[in-house]
Amino acid sequence: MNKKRCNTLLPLVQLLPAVAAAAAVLFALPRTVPVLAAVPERLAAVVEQPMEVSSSEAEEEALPKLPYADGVYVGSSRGYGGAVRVQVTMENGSITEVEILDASHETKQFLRRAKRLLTTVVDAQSWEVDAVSEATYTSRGILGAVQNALTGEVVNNPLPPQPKPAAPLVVEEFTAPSTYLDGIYTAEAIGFEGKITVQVTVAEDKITDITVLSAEDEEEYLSRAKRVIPAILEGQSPNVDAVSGATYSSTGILNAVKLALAKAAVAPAEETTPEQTASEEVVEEAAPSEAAEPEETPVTAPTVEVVQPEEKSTVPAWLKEIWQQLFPADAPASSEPASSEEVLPASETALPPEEAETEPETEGAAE
Amino acid sequence: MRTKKFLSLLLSAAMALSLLTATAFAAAPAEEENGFFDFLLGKKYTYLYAALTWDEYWANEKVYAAGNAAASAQLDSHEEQDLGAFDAVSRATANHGLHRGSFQSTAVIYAKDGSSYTVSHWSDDGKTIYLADGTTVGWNRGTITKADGSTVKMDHYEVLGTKYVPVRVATSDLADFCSKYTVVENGGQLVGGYSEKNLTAYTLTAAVDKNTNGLKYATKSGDGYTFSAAHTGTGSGVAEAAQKAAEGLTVNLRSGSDVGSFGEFIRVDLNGNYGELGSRMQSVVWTYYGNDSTYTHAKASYGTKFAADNWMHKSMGIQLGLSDSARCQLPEGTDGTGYWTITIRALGYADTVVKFQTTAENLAKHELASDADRAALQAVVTEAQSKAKAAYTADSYANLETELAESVELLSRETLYKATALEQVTHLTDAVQNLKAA
Repeated sequence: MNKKRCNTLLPLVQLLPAVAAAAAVLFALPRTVPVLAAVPERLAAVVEQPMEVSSSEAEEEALPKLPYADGVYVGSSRGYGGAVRVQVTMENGSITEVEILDASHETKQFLRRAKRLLTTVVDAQSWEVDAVSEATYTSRGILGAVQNALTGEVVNNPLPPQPKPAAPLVVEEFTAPSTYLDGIYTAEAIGFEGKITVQVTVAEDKITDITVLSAEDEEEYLSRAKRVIPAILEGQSPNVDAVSGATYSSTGILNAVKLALAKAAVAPAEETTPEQTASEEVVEEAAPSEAAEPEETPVTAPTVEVVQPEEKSTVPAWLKEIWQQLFPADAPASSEPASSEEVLPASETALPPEEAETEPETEGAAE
Repeated sequence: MRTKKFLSLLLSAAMALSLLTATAFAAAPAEEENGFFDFLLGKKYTYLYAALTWDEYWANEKVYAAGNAAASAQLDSHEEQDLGAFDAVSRATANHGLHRGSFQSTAVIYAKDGSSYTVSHWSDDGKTIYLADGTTVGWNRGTITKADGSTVKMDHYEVLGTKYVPVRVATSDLADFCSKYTVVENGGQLVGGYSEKNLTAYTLTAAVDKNTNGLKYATKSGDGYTFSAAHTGTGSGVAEAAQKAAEGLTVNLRSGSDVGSFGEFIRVDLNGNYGELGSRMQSVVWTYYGNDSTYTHAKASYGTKFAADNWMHKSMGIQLGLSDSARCQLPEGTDGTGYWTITIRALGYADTVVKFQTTAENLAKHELASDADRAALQAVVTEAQSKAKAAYTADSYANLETELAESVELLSRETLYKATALEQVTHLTDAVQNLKAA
């Protein structure tokens, strides 16, 4: 009797491996697909390789003779830190060797990378080849020197990156007032690296002294820039030319002096200070587009918001309950942070920002 | 009867377990944390900070060119090589804001003799560099003084990536992971920067957990690791500190000739109370919504690199830009006008999102040099040409010749950018000033 009942349960027991297998497939599927997807790319890469080799061989055979007599040529061009000098050997109308004679100004690691060009130039029989990535300036130095050696042409390679100014160059406008009020005035403006603060002394309606109180610019440029000070005192006006070669620093001093003098200005009612003039100009600049196209929608002012991650579950609630009962010590998945693409609307599947973000903390208008 | 009950119970339990397992895996993506399956496998995780390169950081962030670390030999309008994808940022300057790379980035200074120095942070007076290996070197305007007292000139520096990315790694992989990455485990010290006006150096204690904002999951892949997209979390990742929120920021969406001075085509500055956020700024994502004013349907997202796209000035704010480059190409049929968000992720902070709308006025025109700009350069060229070669040392005159040739070449260009012209005035004047009598 018991055996008979067991037999009735047998199909259910036999189902067990099938259920387990299905579970395993469900688990494995998302992990397996990327692996399978990657295979065709690898195969394609293997197939493409021989074609590249054969095409380069064909090019090599077709290279024309160069119009330079046999001999050894020396040339130079600017690299990263200075001039790079090379020696190029021509035999039977072909470049047979390129040697570096001097690259003492180059950084060793860049030079090491760029040296592969010595064979590239011979292979290509030309200096018009790609620079080595991450050693571009040294590469240009070598290639330019080869060109210079063979053609005699001077190759002007661009300079390596240089320091950036803290802000774009802006020249404050200044209109001399009818009278200055005696006193000592300070003001600041932006030079090359940051703020320059000046002190201007006015006595008996004359600018009698200008002192740079502080500046973030290099002394080398600052000292040159200070040449504007005697010019201002001599002409009794800050409307003088900036110093060439220290344009940002000298303009910073001039702007600061203009702002200080604006404080000293005793202006008739109809006159405006430079600051007022400037702000009016901004308004006037903004107005024409609205005047020309009054029906246009106004531009939205920028806002700043702070993202507050929401509680988000990646596991169904019923499963979470079982989970918590089975493994009370383990934190439930709902406490996991939501992924950034879910909170931030970076894709179409993302939540609208209203659901993910709080009200603006701060609001600021574009200048 | 007892056997039947036992078998029924066994069958039910087995089926429930199978169903639970299958559902748990169907519900959670492969890379997500799954406590149930981790429990079954006995898998445990360790949370820590790791230094990632730009490429590693952005690879799974769903941004344009994710996974691309290619450099570009092309120069931008500012003559800098910032047009690659997520390769290292390289700079040759010795004086302009060099120390800012140490706040949240892995910054390495290379010297002329081939030696290199991975910076941790700087002394308050800016004269000592504390290195990542615990040693120090002296610094004075591009001259490095080594421990033995010898000096060497700086050649250039590179900014490789973000130095404190919160990461979850399988504990079984921890030893291998630590051998491949620079890490700070919980309880360790996070340090960076150089206090200067609004910017503040910091020393904090690491405390990463599963709720830390910006957490990435490391997954072993062959001999290396891949990193998931960062997760938005409520934790600060810093011991005894709640997550902070940016307050008091003002937004300056630049326009007209104020855009493009560093080669960017769009620029947003954050001023006001920006100092600490700038000091802690780790990553910046720009998302473009075209004409979707609801900020719902993104057209593209762009990852960025410090010193190429992102910067913070000691007094002039957080300065963010996007350049037409391998890591940023606008979608076809768009011109950059419309609605954008910028998301700033910073150490210990909740994400800060700036929303703004651009018009044509906000896109860089890359202003050409005026007649006055050209005249200024021509004036220095004339002065340089008046110098007699025989009167000066060969080296100093060779430098002048190089700069002079460059200047003449620039003046012959039909297309000359204002910034380029003004910069060359500085270079040539410098060469004239540095002529040494023979």
